[in-house]
Amino acid sequence: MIKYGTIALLLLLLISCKKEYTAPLPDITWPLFDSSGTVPLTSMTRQKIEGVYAITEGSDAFGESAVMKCSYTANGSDTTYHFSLFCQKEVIYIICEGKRLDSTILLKGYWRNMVNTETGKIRLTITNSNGASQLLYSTIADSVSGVTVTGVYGSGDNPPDKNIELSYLRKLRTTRTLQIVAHRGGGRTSDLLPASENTVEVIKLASRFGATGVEIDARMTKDGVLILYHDETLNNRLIQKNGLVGPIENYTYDQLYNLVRLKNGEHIPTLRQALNTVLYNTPLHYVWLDVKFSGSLQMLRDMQKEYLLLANAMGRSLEITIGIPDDEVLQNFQALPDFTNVPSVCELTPQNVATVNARIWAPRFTLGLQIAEVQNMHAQGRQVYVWTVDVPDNIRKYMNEGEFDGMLSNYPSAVAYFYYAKQ
Amino acid sequence: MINLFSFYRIYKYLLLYIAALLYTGEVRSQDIPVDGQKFIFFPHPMTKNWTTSVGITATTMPHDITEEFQYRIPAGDFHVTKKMGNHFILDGRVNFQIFQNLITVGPHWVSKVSDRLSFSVGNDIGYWFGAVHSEGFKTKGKGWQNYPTVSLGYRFNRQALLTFKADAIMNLSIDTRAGETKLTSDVGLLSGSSYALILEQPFSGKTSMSIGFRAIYTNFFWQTWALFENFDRNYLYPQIIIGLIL
Repeated sequence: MIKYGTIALLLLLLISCKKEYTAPLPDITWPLFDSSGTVPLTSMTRQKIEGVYAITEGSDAFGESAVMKCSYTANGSDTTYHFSLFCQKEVIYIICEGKRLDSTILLKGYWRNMVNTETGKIRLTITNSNGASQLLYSTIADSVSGVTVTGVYGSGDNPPDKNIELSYLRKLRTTRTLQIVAHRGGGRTSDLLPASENTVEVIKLASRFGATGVEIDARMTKDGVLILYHDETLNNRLIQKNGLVGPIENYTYDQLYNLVRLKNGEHIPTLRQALNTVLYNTPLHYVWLDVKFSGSLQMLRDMQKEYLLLANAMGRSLEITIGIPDDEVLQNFQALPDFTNVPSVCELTPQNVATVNARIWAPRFTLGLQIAEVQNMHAQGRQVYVWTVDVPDNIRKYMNEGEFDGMLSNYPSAVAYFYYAKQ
Repeated sequence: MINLFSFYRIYKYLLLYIAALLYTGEVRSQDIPVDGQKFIFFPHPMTKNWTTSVGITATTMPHDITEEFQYRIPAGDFHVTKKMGNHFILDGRVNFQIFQNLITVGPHWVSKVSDRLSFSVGNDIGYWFGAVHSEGFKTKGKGWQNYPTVSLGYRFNRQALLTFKADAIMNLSIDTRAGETKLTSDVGLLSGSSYALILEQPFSGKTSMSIGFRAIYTNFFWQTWALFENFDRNYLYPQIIIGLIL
């Protein structure tokens, strides 16, 4: 008996496997929202709805307060606006689309907790009696008060059945600027976002997550095409299983395009596609090009220059810096003509920063707050961005006790909450 | 290249070997009483005052935590048990990688159910500590853990002792710093659990060998403290245990 029991246990262990985590987007269809009587919200309404809200019902799920921020994704002449709520609890965000039905504002979307796989639908309403009229019709700036958002949320694809209520508290903080930089274009593949890391799709999501800029990883294919990809090799962490292995630089762009799909089904994008997306589709105004290849940086520099000129011609505020993560890239950077005038972000020592005249020094957060060093950089007219801060308490500490000008995170929504909610 | 000795293959070979032992359990070899055998994991009342084992553990980190570097840095493993009474032993263990180390110690109550079957229940307190001072890191960390544990042992005719050991993993405290800045690690009290199968057999001379596989399911594995990962998800950390019982 014991023998067979033990054999059964062994077989159980033999077939035991790793749990694959997923966080699929819920179906957010809401017939009322999609009905023919709804119309888009105006620019004035989108602006006025932004603010810090107290969560008066549903705080056990979302925390005590949330920051509402509007962002957009442009596609030619068609622009989609999103209303994001960055919540105080853990790393929870809500992303909604908004419309007006008569004198009522409707928001439909989904929520997600980034540290686990929890997600669900959410439907929010601001009725006329709850302050919608001043958001919809008042043209007086700074006149928002007494606005209450009510609604329901659910878990997974279940119908939303739990109540949530938010009350407008104050405007967003504007006294200090902080660059909120989303890691890998918006977040890592392991964060189970709707798009894979380092893709055009995730860059389009970044501002919905609260980012004002993105960090992306540049590599070069065998035939000299700059692409976005983090790891040195093709591997199951980032791509769908296809039998291809080895260094990504051993493949041509055509081979990668035709044979490789990233975890969420996307193609590996070229750097040009990524910069086009930033410039033409998003409100992002900072790009950190993290160099992951060895060899000449001239092609990267040429593309940086081209897109800075394009942005300038469009009257678009956009900063693109070449990342210097190690000594090898530092040497290659110094081989560029007139390298001291090339916008860069240097992760190395303050001496290296001065040598290349980097605009930004980017120390790893594991070195601490480094107040004196940061002040010294400021005195030299440089900015300091810290990376990669993910634990909410550490984000708050580095923001409040440090003197950083930017913060790189896998959870830009948490950075955005602490930044905009601070009085 | 096919790696015949990849982690999972070793794990499966071990399980198949144990299964084969079970099937051939009636082989007519001399049935040595367990009192005459050396063991350190096997949950059985001790006859000697001390038993000591040295070896290594090697743990594979999940891709989501370590990304492209799926490293498996072996840790030295020093294990000692002390007889405290007929049914009580004190179990102490040190896992060391120099830059990060774990010490556990705790009492275990052991008992025989039959000539072949025995079990133990116990509780180990663990303290881990480490420091990383290299490229971009100026961090140190320490933490207390608690491991309630149960073991079930089965003795085969062929001098083989098989132990199934299950632990709950609890984080009592974590204290990490970057430079002079105190950091926070978002890890709850109940961190996960682990399940191990360990085989112990005579090896060479007077020594015995233990070889085992441990499946650790946890949202915080102490060897990853310096990565400051924030996932509230239980990942599998497969671990191989190899020890020489002196």
